[in-house]
Amino acid sequence: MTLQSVTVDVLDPTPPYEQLRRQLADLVGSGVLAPGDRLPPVRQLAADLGLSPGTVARTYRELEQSGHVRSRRGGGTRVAPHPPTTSTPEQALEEAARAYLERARVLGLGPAEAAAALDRLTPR
Amino acid sequence: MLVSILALPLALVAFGVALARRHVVTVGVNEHAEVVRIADRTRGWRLVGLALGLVGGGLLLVLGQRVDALGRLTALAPAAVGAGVLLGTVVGELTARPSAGVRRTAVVETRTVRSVLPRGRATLLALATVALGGVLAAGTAWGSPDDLGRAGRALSERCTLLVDGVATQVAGSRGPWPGSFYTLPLAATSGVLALLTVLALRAVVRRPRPDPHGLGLDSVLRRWSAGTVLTAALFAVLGTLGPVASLMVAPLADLDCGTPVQAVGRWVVTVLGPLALVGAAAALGALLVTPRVRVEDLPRPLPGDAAPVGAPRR
Repeated sequence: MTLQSVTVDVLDPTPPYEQLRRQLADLVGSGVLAPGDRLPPVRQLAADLGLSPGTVARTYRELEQSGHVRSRRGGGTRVAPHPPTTSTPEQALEEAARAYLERARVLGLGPAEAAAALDRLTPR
Repeated sequence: MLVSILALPLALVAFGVALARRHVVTVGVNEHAEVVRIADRTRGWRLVGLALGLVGGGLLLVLGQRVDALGRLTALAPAAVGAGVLLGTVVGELTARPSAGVRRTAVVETRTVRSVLPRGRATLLALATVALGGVLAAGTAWGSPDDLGRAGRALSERCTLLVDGVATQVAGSRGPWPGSFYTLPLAATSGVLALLTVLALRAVVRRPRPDPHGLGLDSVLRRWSAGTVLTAALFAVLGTLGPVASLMVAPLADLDCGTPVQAVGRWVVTVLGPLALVGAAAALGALLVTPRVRVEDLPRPLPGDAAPVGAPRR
């Protein structure tokens, strides 16, 4: 089993709870996390990411409202039986790439510079 | 007493065996620096806890007799050693925090106590705890006041026996007997120790993960810590069970009107006492030699580097 990970950039203007929500929604929506899979406990994920438990709790609340997960007292938070399937992993990657290009545009850089930066960071 | 004296060389043998079979994971000088730092910290606190536990246990053995000549404080010495290690583990795991950078990554996983528990040692601890509970319960149930009226300090009997065809009243009292006088403080201490064990295991599981690149090594560290927690609890349980069971053997053997259950109990404690003391000695030996992460002084050779074989060229 491959372990999935989530990353939070504290300098990113997007609030950490939203960064986390987007990544977890992608993992659920693309089927990487299957219905019934358990999400990490709020305190564990908050400690691992160095965030406050309230931030992670807000992420889980929003995921629950959007129907991605179900929380039960004492049973933890699990992926809902029929979560909204927003995209395949490829579509989610394209979505992330679009956001990346948009960020590059805000910084005044074109697609060529963005691709060059990506190329530099790609492990050989 | 003889078994107690035998326990010391057994502890030394166990120490030697543990030293020979010690788990050492070697990492490169620049590899998994964060995990190595956490490993050093948790191991350091565990050793501080063990040292404090040994000092506390030693003081209870030596000075406990002066405060309470009947041995109630002395009986708590193994629990003190175990509690020291458990407290050291809790402090080490709670204070070992990975440094948080700007980009923070976490694995989507649910860490549970069960996933880090060594099965064999957990089973052994469960069996030892059941045995200790049984022995303490039997001691409490069969205990009676001694000649000075102290409840649960003697094993009394009263029955009518046929001696040469004549009905004879037999009555007697034997001690010291590990009745409620001893078992109540021991049971209370065992309860505290059980709580500490659960607390330590939860601290091991809840410690934040460092950089996901060191995931495998971090999981190994957690399993080592959980193993040491169980070994500390096992030492406390067996170190308490051994003397209590050994103390029961002579009074039960001297009974004239013992019940069949007491006859079975006698054989059980005769076997359990030495076994528990040997087990406690082995657990102490294992506690003294904990697994560790060794950092190589020199960086590993890269592919294409000249092999370090032969005399250096002058």
